[in-house]
Amino acid sequence: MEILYAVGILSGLGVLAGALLAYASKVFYVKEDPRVEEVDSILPQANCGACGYAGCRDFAKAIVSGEDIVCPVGGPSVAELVAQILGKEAAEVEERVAFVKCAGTHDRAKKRATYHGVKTCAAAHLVGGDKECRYGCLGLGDCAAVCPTDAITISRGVAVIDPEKCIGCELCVQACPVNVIEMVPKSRKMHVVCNSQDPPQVARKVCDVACIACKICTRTDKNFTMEGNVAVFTGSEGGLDTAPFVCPTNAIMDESKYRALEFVLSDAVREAFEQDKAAYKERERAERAKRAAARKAAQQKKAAAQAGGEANPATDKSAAKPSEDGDKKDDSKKSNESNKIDSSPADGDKKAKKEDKAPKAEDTGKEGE
Amino acid sequence: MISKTFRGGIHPYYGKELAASRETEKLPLPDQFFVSLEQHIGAPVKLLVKKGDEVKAGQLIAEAGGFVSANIHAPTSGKVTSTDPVDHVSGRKVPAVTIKADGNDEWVDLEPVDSPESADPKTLLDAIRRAGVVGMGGASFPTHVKLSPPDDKPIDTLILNGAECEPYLTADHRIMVEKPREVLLGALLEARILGASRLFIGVEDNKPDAIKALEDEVEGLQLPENIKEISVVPLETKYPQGSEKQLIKAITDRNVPVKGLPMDVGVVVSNVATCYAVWDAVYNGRPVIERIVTVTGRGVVEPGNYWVRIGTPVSHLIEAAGGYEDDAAKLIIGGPMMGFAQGTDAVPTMKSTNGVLVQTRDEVQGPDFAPCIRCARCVEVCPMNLPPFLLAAAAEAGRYDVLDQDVLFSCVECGSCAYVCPSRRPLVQFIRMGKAYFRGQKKGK
Amino acid sequence: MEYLVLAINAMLISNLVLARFLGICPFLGVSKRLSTAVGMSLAVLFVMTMASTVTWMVYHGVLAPLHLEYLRTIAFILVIAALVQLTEMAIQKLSPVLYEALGIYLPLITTNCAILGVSIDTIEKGYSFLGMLVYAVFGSIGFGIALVLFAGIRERLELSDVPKSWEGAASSLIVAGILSLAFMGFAGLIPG
Repeated sequence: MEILYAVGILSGLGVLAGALLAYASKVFYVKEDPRVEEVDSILPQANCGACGYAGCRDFAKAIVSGEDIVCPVGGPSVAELVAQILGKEAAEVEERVAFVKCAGTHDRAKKRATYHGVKTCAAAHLVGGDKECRYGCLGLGDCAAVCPTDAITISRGVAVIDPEKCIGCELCVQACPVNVIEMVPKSRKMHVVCNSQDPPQVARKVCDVACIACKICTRTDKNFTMEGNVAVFTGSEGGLDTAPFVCPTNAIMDESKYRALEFVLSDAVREAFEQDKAAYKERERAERAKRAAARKAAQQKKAAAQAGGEANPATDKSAAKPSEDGDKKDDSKKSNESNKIDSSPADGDKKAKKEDKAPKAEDTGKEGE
Repeated sequence: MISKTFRGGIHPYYGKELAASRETEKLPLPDQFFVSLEQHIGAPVKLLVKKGDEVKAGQLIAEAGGFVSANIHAPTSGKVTSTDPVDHVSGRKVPAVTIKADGNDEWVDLEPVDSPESADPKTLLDAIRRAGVVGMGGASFPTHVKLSPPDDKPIDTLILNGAECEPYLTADHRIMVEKPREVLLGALLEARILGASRLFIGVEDNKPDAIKALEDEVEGLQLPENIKEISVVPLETKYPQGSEKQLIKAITDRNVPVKGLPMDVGVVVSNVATCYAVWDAVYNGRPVIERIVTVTGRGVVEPGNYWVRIGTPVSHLIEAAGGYEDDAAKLIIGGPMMGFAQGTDAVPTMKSTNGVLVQTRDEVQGPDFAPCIRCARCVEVCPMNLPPFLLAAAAEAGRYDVLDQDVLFSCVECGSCAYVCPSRRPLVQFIRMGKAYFRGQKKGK
Repeated sequence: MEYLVLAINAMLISNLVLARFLGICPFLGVSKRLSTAVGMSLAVLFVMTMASTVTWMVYHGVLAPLHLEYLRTIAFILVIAALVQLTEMAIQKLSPVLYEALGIYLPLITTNCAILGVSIDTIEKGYSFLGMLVYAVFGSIGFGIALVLFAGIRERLELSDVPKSWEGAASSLIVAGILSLAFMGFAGLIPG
């Protein structure tokens, strides 16, 4: 008999509670969009806050309520899925990675003093850092400390980001007090590795690899434009292969040929690059000489044809002069290198040579780390 | 003699004997002047000259860019050779006017105020504004702004800050000893502008000659009607006695509220060098282009005090003081407690530059510091009653969320905490980091 | 007087967390930040008072008259779980502000042994209705004190240079132990 009571009471309580809850869920129903849950389940759940919201759930709520935002970590794949749930077209998301616009390692950038204070960029920035250049990387690793994927290497006074490891969370961009880190499309291969807004004469003095606003790159390649005293790559295309070679201070990097890490940190890679550059110059010069010779021959022909008719030396000179000047400058600067590889190799040869060099450089780069 | 003081503070090595008894000398003019365009707190100035212009000493070269801003004048006659940025005390590069001196030092015509004793306060204020007077104790807040408090904040007390608690520096000391009359006349002008009835001159008791000079001068002074009380107040020799809030506490026993200004308790504090500049501006119509700078420290051969034109490169000053000793290691603009270590001696002097200190290798502390051991000595000495170790620890750990901004910004960065820390922790730098973080946030970075 | 003794006893001497080791889960889990600790404490205060009241009524109104005392544990669990669910829904609808503040803690409390412990305790000790109320309210205040104290200490601890191997849970548990020892000192407040 007692057991019946017990069972009855408990089931009674259970039914009562169940009924109450069922009733309450009707009465106290609060509308929440089911899509929030769905979107939330797709997000990476990194809760990194890079989107500007407190966690992935907040982001889901915001995007369901119609905010036009994208998850920087999830990238296009997530955006597409979210768009499917919301029945919207996916906003075009370009995968972006962080890039340090400075190659001013200790040996390239001039130091102005010994910094004795707290070893963080935030603290060093308060007194202007220890480099003459106030726009360069301070190299104390505030960015590396916040990087969730260890994509940042600090070596010889500069930070370099591995674009393969970078997930584009922008935490380093926020952590950097000098704003030397910039988000760039992952597909971009051409970078200007300088952030200096110093006037050219100052920039040239304080750093070997500074952009000195000579504007050669902007003249030869329309993908580059000037922003104040520094050139930036703004094109959507890959840019001309030759852009890095025309830069007199080697402040342009072509990532399709070199990994950022090595281009900035490895001397061997730099040397290889210098040689490539010298070879390029040599080739350019040869070509120009050939063109000039051809022109001359044509003129002579013309002159001969006109037989005693007046040639037009004035226009000739003005046309030829600038290129000659340019040649001379290059000569004086690079005379050593060009002498070394005087027997200017053919195109095919040169490529082979570079491929030879590249793996070697990679090795040394790793040792350097 | 009873010396007044405040709670907390420290007694560092003062080092004033190096330069205190050295009479101020006129510094020969350098060939080049770099007149920084960031010499005050407030709105940036508008540049009035361009490359190639000829200027004369005292000529306005940059105009105040608002009410809270200050004019800047050419320090000598010569030619403007550049307007590119040059080094600044803060370590940044800021816009500046580079002037190549012609050596003639020709002045513009000066316009002193007629009969300053009876002139209208507005006229006086205008003269001060035109002369570009800023707080010369270090803060460089435009003086004409300080002297025009809002109507709902009546000022009854003007305090002259002659404490000069910063070790090594003797610039204020010398001006009190050498120009007591001018300083007092300047102070009386300020008091009249403010309508203050009480005038106190706070001087640390390690400067008996300055106290004597001022007291003698006060006795012989013909007091205007508005001044009911005037006295020279000896203060205990303790750092940071010359900090505004501590000075007010010591002399008037009033507490300036958190986030408040001295004017909230009816007080205005003015540095003695500022008073001299006010006197100069009103009685002579001369703008601020010259001030006393102490060149001192064990790293210079002959420490001394100099009348220096604003914009003189520090290297020139060091040269005048006999050059560097062999073991000179660190160059500081200002004193050892609150000064700014420099990376170059090409930086020019500014209106607020009261000293140049060169330390030797032995005196410079290495970069290493140890963990906090919770001895709470920093709490004991903090003149603002803050817990520096906590603020620093939070900033070091990047835990800005646990930092109370009101507390953080109460810190006057006097450096007492870092001085007493047995672990040699750079507490002030951590706190500055925290402040920079919140300032950056406000700017929306 | 009787209730004062009861209150002090519930709050300090036989503190739920530090003397009786009930509700250790939220004590360790929600004590990383002072603000969440305060939120949790308030939620506990709210739920504990309500749960104790309802279970007291269920026991004295239903179980005791039918001599089914042995069913109390299982019945209480049922009642508490349903109650917390209900409250959560109600708050979400009626006071979104309160929900924002307490909402995330409510489901956590459902499985909090301190609630069940207090409910059973009041029955075991045979408190009157008023006694039960005092016991529940001050018991949860005691819980709050312990939690807030602990959270404050942990916040400080986080800024300290703790040796690597002692970081996190290790040092937290040591602190909890010391705190518990300290609370034992209150035992002398009331003789006997």
